[in-house]
Order: sequence, then C-alpha cells, then structure tokens
Amino acid sequence: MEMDISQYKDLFITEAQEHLDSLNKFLLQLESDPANLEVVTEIFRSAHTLKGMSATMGYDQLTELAHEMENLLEHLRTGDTPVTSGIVDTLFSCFDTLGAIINAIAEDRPGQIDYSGLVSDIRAIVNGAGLGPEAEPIVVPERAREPVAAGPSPEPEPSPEPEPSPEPAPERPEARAEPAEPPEPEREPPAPPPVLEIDEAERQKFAAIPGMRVMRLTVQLDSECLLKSVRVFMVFKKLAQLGEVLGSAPPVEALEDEKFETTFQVGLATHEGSERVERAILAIAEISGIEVETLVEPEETQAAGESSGRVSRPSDQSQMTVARKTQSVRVNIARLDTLMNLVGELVINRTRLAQIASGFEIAELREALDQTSRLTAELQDEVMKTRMVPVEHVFNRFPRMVRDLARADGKEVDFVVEGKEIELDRTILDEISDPLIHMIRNAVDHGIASPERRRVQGKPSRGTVRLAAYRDRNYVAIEVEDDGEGIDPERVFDRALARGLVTEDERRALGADDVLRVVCMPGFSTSEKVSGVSGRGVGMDAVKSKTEALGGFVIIDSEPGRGTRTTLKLPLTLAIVQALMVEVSSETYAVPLGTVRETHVINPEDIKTVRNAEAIFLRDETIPLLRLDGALQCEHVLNGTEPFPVVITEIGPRLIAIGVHSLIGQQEIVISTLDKFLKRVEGFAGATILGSGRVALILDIPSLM
Amino acid sequence: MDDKGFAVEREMQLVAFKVGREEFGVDVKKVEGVISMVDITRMPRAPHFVEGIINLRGQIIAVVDLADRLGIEAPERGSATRIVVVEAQDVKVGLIVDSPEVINIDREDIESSPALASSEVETSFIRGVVKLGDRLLILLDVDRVLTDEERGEVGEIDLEAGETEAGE
Repeated sequence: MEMDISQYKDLFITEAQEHLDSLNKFLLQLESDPANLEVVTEIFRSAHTLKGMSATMGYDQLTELAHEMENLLEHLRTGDTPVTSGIVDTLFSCFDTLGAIINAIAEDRPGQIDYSGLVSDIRAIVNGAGLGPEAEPIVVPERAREPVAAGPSPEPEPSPEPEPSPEPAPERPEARAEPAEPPEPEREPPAPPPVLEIDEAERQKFAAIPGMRVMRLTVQLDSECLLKSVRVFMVFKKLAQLGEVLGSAPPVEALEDEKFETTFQVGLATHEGSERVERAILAIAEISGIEVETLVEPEETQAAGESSGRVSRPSDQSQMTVARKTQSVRVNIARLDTLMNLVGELVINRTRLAQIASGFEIAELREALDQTSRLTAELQDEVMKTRMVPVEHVFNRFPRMVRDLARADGKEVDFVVEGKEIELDRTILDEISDPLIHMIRNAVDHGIASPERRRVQGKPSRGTVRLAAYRDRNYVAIEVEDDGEGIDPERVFDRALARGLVTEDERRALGADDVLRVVCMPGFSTSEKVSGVSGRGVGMDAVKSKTEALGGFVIIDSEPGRGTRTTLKLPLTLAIVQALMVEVSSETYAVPLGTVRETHVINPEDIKTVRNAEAIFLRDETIPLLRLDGALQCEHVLNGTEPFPVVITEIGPRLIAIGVHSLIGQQEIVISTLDKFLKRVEGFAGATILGSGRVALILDIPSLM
Repeated sequence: MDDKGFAVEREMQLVAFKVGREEFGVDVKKVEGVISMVDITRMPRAPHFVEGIINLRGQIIAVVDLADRLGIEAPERGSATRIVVVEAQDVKVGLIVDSPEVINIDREDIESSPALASSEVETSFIRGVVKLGDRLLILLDVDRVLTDEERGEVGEIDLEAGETEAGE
C-alpha cells in the first residue's frame, strides 16, 4: 500500500493512545478481579482493534506485538490459562512497549524497539511453559474488589476462585461457549444475520441502555475502489465515533487484507438514528451505498431523541463497555483557541459598544445592545464549555502508576478515584498533570508506610490513596489524600534547618502555618530513604508554582500519624475571569479577583518596617506591602503623606498587600496570553484588551515579589 | 514566458522605511502589515528597547522602538510614523519607523558587505545593503531585533553587550 496514509497518522496516534489507556484500565480491573472474563474480552477487543489499525497503517512492529498479545489473551479468554500475576506483568510490559512504539511513530523516529524478549515471554506462557515463580493465580482480598487494588499480591495460598477450572463463570456462559463479541475472526463468511443474532447477551446489554440502538449495516464500496482497506478503516473509525462497533462480516482481518468483494457488514450499537449513521458513512469517499437494519430499537422512544449530553451510566458491568460512547467530534485544539479569541474580541467590542451607547439616549439601540449582550454571554458560555474536558482524561493514567509505585516499594495501596466527571479547561488540565504525578508519588512513596509498619501502628496493612475532584464555587479542587504517616511540622522545620534552608532564628519563629511554605522550598526533602522516584518536597515547589501560575493555589492539611491531604484549587477556566482593575501613575493593571481578599485605604504612618521590608498590620496580621509604582518602575511614585489604597491578595496561605494609586473597579476581562518573547518578562500573567481598545497587563503577584 | 519567470526570480519586494537619517528595507515576506501609531501600553521590566505592547486584532504584540534597538539617535515622531508588524522568530513584533513604502528591487543589487553602510547601525542587524540610485538601503535582519543576550550566540553577546554599552 504505497498510498500516502500519513495524513491519518495524527488520528492514528490519538486513537492508539486511547486504546492503550483503556487497555491499562481494564488490565488493572482484571488484576483486582482475575475471574472476570468479560474484562479479558474488553482487553482482547482493544488489542484487536489496535492491531487492525496498525496493520492498516503499515506499522508492523505494533501489529506484530499486538498479534502476540492477542494470542495470549485468547488463551485467557477461553479459560485455558488462568490469569496470574506473571501474566498481568507481562501484559503491562506489552502495553508499555506498545506505548513506546507509538511514541516513536509520533516522533517520526520509527527506530527498532526491541520487544523480542516480550514475544518469547508471551509464547512461553501460551505454550504453558516457564511462568516462573509468579505463576500463582492472583488472590485478591475481598474488600479490595471495588477500588482499584494495587500492590503485591499477598501470600500465594491457592484460592478456589481463580482456579483454572474449565467451567466458565456461571453468569457469563457466552464468554466461553461463543466468543462472539469483538470483531470476530472465526465467524462464518458473509452470511450476515448470525453476527449479531447469536450474541443475545450483548444485545440485551445495549437494549438496557436508554436510547441505544443496535444496527446491522451493509456497506457497499465503489466497484472502482482501489484502496478498500483504507475505506474500511475509515468506516470503522467513523462508526467508532458514532457508537460501538460490534463485529463485522467478513471479520476485520479479512477486511484489512481486502479479502472481500465490495460489500461487508458491521454491527453497531449507537445512540444515533439510522439516518445520521447513513449520512456519516456515505460522506466517506468511495462508499457507494449503505443499508441499515435496526435490530434493537431503543426501549423508550423519547429517550432516543436526546442526542446531546452523556449517557447515563448503569452501575453494572455494562458500564465499562459504554463508558466512552458519547457522541462527539474531534476538533483541533487550535481551532478552539481561535474560537475563544474571537469570542474574546466580541466581548471586548460589546463592552465598547455599550460605552459608546451610554452617551446616547436611544431606546432601540439600548434594547439591541442588551440583546447582543445576552447573546454574547451565551456564546461565550458555550465556547467555554467546548474547552472543558473531564478530569478523567488525566486521572485515568494514575491507577497504573500507583500500582507500579506500590509494587516497587513493597506497599499495599488501594487507589480511590472520585469526581472523574468534573470538567476543567483543557489547557489547565494539561498543565496540572505533572503536578498531580508529583503529589500522588509523594503520597505513595512517603505517605503510605510499609504494611508491617502500618500494622504496628494499628492501621490496616493496606493504605488508601484518594484522588478526588470536586467543584468549589468558582474553583475546581483536586485533592490527593493518603491515610499514611502525615507530616510532622517540627520534623519538617528541623530538616529545613539542617538543610540550611532557614536560619536558627527563622526556625524558632516557624509555626504550623509555615509547613506548606517550608515543604515547597526548593531542595527540601524529609524522606529518610529517598527513593528513585521522589523525595518528599522534590517537586512540591514545582507543584506550587505551576498551580499559582494558573491562578490557583495549594493547601496542605496534615496530621502526624493520620495522613496528609494536598489540595489544588484551580480556576474553572483560564480565558475569562473577573478582575479588579487598579491604577498606578495613570497606568491600568488587572488583578485577578480570585486572588483578592479585600481592599483598604491605609495611611503612610501605619506602614511599619519589618525585616527591612514594608508591612502593614491588619487585624493582628502582619502583611508585607508591595508598592506597585516602585515595583513597576512607574514614572510617578507615591512618597507623600496621602493615604492610598491597598489590595490584599491571598496567594495560597500567604497575604500580600499591593499598594496602588487608585482602584478602578471590578470587571470581566478576557485573558490574552503573551507570546514567547513577552512571557520572559516577569511579573505578568497575561494581558487583556480594555473596552477602549487599549491593552492592560494582568499582574502575577507571586512573580512580582 | 521564460523572460518573465526569470524576472520574477530576480525581483524582490521590500518594505522600505526610515529610522532617523538611515533608510532600511525588510523582505516583504517578513512583513505582516503596517498600521498607524496607536496608544502603546508600557510594559514594565521588559528590555529597554521594548516600547510596550499593543492590541493587534485581538493579539497582544510587542512594539520595539527600532531607533533605540539599533542605537540610532531617536527621531521625532510625526505624521509619517508607523508601526511595521514583522514576524521575527515566530513572534509578531511591531517596529516603530517612518514613511514605510513598498519597493521593488533587483536581487543583484543587494551587496552583502556591511562596510558600505555608513552608519551608526550595528553590523549584526545588517543582512546587506541595496543601492538604489543615490539611496542606500540597509537590509534589516528582523530575526535579530528580538535577540538578546540569552538568545544570541556567545560571540554575539560580547559584541552586542560591548557595543550597547559604548553606545549609551
């Protein structure tokens, strides 16, 4: 296939990575519930799709490795081979290697990644040989079933449960008898009806979901079509966007090898109506016809009309099969950014129009403007929503990470994830993923103690790490909590002293409120045993500065012996925020309202000097004073005896009083980011365009200090 | 046909402008547009040659006082003063200049020797000079305009730092 498929590469990479994510997710699920053959089927399905995609694109390494994996999975699926921790580890290594190959493809350096060792491991397992000492079936403690369990499998005492019994799990008879769910190889050729009909169980599953239809599509390719497999790939891709592909006749392999005439059939479970499916498929080049047979109609017809929003998820097993089936279109993030910028300009122009109109008493004009304002606000709201993505996108990779960390440290950790569905601006989400990695690593490496130590402390030997997201007024809070050792402030301060981060005098002045600040000092680490992955504090300074750069802040709550909770409070969205506009020396600056606690007018005689720096006293608190005119080298600097306003800003637990010349008022501003040249200038988080068309800079208080 | 093709190759369009007494040219492909002077917002803590920032159709860009940047005696701004927006190292930046115009030149008229330029201008900003009758145009290397100590190569840093100091 010499044709240029490279245009599909980006798409391929994205989808391959998604498959990899779900592979990891399902394998973790399998590890905690080894008898669940349905999960094996899911893994098989994903691996199979990945193999098909790779073959279409001509990525032989991926195809080969996926193929080997598939062989192994086939054995697991039929129950011939019990799921052991050794197999799970091998599969995880496979996923990692697949990830490495995909990355190599993404970066256009398709170097030879050596996976021959893996292949021989897989073959050894398949041939029933050489499983090594880890061949024991996985035994999962009863209570660990629900949250994702991570950690070394306990004593290898044989359990009756995952016995390699030829008897299939009773509640899933079809899993063994008829391995029919995924795009299936061993179906009979183009005879269409059997493909979906046999699978009554699956039909039932989808029928149980409100608004879900099961369809059988007969797709007719143009007789002139030269690249049938590419068209097939595009049809499958399109169908995957519309719903879930339930298999095909002839099987996918045959389709990929172009072993068919011009028609083939595909099963589809979808929320869409048949018309929409038809149109979507016919939009693909060289498709000459499509016939849609609806096998399962939605139970409640009115539910079928709901085309927006997400599927309400039943809490049973079928959840995992439908989890990703929302109707969506992929949009380049750059497009969304452009859209956001345009809306931003519209907002600015609206403000400007309103200003002009305020000079005239024209009722119609005002009415039209009100209408425009309302529409702009709605548009803005909608565009913002398109930028929001569930935190799930980032959270999904953590269960695997926790498992690996726990295993490496010999710890037992239950990882609980809450609030996956909470949405955040996509840019913010991308930015916080590294900070979250640090926080979770800290929790596992330093929060949770070894099982032995925990038992001595009278705690359950399995520790719990909880990752939760929730809405908190105009913020989204993301917290990582562990029930581990906790942070002992005195130990932290002693350590800081020992590291030379604070002087003896400073050490004496430190109190419980200073823990966060000290922990976030660059170069701080209290771990007795600094692991290869992290030392407590390494990265906390990075976590703090990243969060603050996004307009958020960090809170650490900890009780020695009981555990630690680190919370990130993040703004919902970056693009439009409320700001307090201030003036110094005839220049206007914006202070994000999220950081403003209050404003005051102070008299110069109330300013004290503390440690050679100016400060003000407010309700027994000493707050450092930053005079903006001086900090920004303004032409006109206040030094007289006149009172002046201060804005008390709150950056995490820290208060800073910003001295200005006058307060202009509160206003909604659209944040424009600064280009890479301007970004290097410290002190500003961005800029905004005022109603007058002029530009005002947005202050970044921490970097001004 | 052949003739024309040849001519297209040889010809080059420049945006020519003045800064003080000197005349400069920038390859038209590097120019995003020319706008009239607008209110410029001062950007504290930015390098001294950055006059400030402006709103260019919704995008915030830096405006450079080219005279300051090139070490030329600052001309008075007047009705002919414009902002030429160029793209330098993937960043849009406005340059404050006088009397911009688009001219056609013959590539063959470009001479690489900076020695021809009379001028007070640092050679590192000069890509060549163009003689047009009795006019002498300095071809400006716009990528260098934003280059500062961090970006330049070591040799250039010393040169630049030294000359800047000498100039001030």
